[in-house]
Amino acid sequence: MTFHCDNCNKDWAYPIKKCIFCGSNTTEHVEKKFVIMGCTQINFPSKGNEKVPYYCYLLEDTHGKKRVWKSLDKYEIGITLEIENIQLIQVIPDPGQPAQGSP
Amino acid sequence: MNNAIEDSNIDITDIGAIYISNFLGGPLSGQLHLNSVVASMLPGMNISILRIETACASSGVALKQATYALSEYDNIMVIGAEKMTSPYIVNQAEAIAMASDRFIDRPGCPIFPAIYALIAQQYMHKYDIDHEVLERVSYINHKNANLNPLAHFYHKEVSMDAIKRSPIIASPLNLFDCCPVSDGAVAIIISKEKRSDRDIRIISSQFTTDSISITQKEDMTSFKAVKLAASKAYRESGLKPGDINILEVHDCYTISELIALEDLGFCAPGEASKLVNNGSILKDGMLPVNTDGGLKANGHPIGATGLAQVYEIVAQLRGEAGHRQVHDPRFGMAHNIGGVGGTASITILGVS
Repeated sequence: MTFHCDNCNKDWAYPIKKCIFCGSNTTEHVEKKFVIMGCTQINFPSKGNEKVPYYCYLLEDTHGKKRVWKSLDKYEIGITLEIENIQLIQVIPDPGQPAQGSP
Repeated sequence: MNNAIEDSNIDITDIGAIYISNFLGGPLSGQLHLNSVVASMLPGMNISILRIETACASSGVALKQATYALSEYDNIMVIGAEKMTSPYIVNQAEAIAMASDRFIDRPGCPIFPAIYALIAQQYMHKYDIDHEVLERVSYINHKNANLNPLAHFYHKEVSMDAIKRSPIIASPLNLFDCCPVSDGAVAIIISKEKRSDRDIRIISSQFTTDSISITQKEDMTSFKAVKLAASKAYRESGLKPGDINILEVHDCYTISELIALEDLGFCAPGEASKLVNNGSILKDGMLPVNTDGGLKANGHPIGATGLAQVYEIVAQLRGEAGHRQVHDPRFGMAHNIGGVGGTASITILGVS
């Protein structure tokens, strides 16, 4: 979820309803499909993340907006995921490659 | 504080104000209102004391704020202090993660090693370097720390083999890519007027900011705030990267050292590994880096780190760095960042 000012071409990752630079109302963008750009496997537990290993993913949508996402499942870099809030909806298969990982 | 007072030959009653840098006093020790805690150590003085918090960049920024206050006070003490190993209220990993965005980053990347691992992965892929370069960064810093009696790892020799065999924390980063959890404190005194031949001049002190979240970074392999702060510092000082004789960089993770070398202009993007591999950053190299062991091996007591870097540069510029002394440095730079470049502080010091 990002908020965009069309007038100033600025983005916020927070629910900013009005652009502080020009006063225009911002537009909310909700993107659900993300390509995995990076992945790290975490091997030591911390409070709230007791089960290891887990994976932290760097995701990017079609507009180049990034987000990070945690999962206990391993997916390959380059595949597309559909995510709503923090919930994985589906792994979108690459036409030339079978989907990997488990949703 | 006592050591700084003794070293400066300034009476404590001549200190007009104090800046105290600290990050985790609240979540770890349950103690905030640190300015008043410091006041309690100076009964009857009742001077202006202010706490500064900008995560890991707190003490670099505290120094900058103190320089502003020199318009009002002749002598100012700047303190950095962090107690990270005592029994805590919030556990350390969770407390340190408070330097990242609570709502955007932490649900997906709950701990800092994960964030820097993603940065390392992007960097290594973009510039086609392998983990061996990071291992070398770690090794060099540990060797330097063995020469620094105040370093966290002073008494602990760390071999290249131990670095290579250390467990993966957040792939591709292993244990020795990550700085330790350290306690530490530093106090320095800055003055309006030069008082002795040992005085070191603050030629420039700059800080800038950027978005806190890793997801808002335009470039995952560079920190915009660092570039901006460095640019301002070079402009104010009239110096260029080639003039810097000694450098302290914020190597909270080994990958940060490579990125710092590039953002500060010591090499082109993607070229930092060459400085590591050809020995330029060694103590007797062209650009000695982290002669105190860096955050990696000197330690990273968060609120004290930026001032610890300044302490090392001052010791080097005075020619008082003992076994780790580099040859005749004239100008030194300290690079201190908060979070993933959400705050950047650059200090340039020189022989006065």
